[in-house]
Amino acid sequence: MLNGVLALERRAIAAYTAAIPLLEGHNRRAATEFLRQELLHAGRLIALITATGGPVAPRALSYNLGEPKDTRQILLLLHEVEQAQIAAYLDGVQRLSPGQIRAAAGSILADDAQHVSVLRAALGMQPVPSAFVSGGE
Amino acid sequence: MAASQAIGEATRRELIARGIALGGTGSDVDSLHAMLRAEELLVVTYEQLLAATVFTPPATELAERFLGHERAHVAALARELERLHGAPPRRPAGLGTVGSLGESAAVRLLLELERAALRVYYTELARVRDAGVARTAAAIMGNEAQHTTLLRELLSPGDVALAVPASFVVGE
Repeated sequence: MLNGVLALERRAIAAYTAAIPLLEGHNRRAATEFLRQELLHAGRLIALITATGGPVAPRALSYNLGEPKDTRQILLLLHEVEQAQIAAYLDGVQRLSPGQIRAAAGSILADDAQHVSVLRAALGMQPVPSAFVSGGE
Repeated sequence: MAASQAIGEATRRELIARGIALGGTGSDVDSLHAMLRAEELLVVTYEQLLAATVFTPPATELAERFLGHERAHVAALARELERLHGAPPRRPAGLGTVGSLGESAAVRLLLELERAALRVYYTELARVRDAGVARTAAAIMGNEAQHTTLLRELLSPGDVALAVPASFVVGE
């Protein structure tokens, strides 16, 4: 399960890395900050996988990120990437043990939820649309 | 201004003391009690601040929306508690008089409470054993984290490093 969310973190890193040069101003600053945070998430996951004795899955050679054509489409891609992570963490938090790993997953999920709020605001959408994050908002 | 700051400091100290008492002690029912107490305190405080009309219209709209979320959290946690045959905890009395706060102090108070709730969820997620409780807690934790981002945005508009200050949300 941890390798599954690691794959999604790596996809997010690829998406932000590709997006940053195409963004400007506030969106660029936000994406740069979020990339830094996603890198730390991936590092923490690798440490957790290693600590539990599991093999760390190799990074994919490439990621299909579509072909966003403007700022809005780029932000929608980042929104989709973040939502996929939230859905995976929510699924995983029910099954992860020991508790410290479950709490770590919750702390990353919560950070990704904050990213979603900022991205939604940039897209002109309600930043906090539901009382419960689900990854499907 | 000085009086508002003094009240803010006092409530923060009280919150810290309450935060220590909020922690569960072992069972999933205890964890749910801790989460419910944190949520009930948020509900009471949002209600008091909205009743005192300390907010400008944009902040009022946000606080009303977030109050709705907190009430939904209480309802969801109460359902989980009932499923596990736990008795509901007593509703907290609130933090005393908050109506004299200015908007910034009121937002900072809410931010402090939301962070206290996040600390509870982070702590209890490590303790709970029931899968349904864990999922509900994580879904709420994500929402509370979003609240902190929007509250920080009210205090410092446009500063994303302040709005999303940490890679790991643990309520610090």
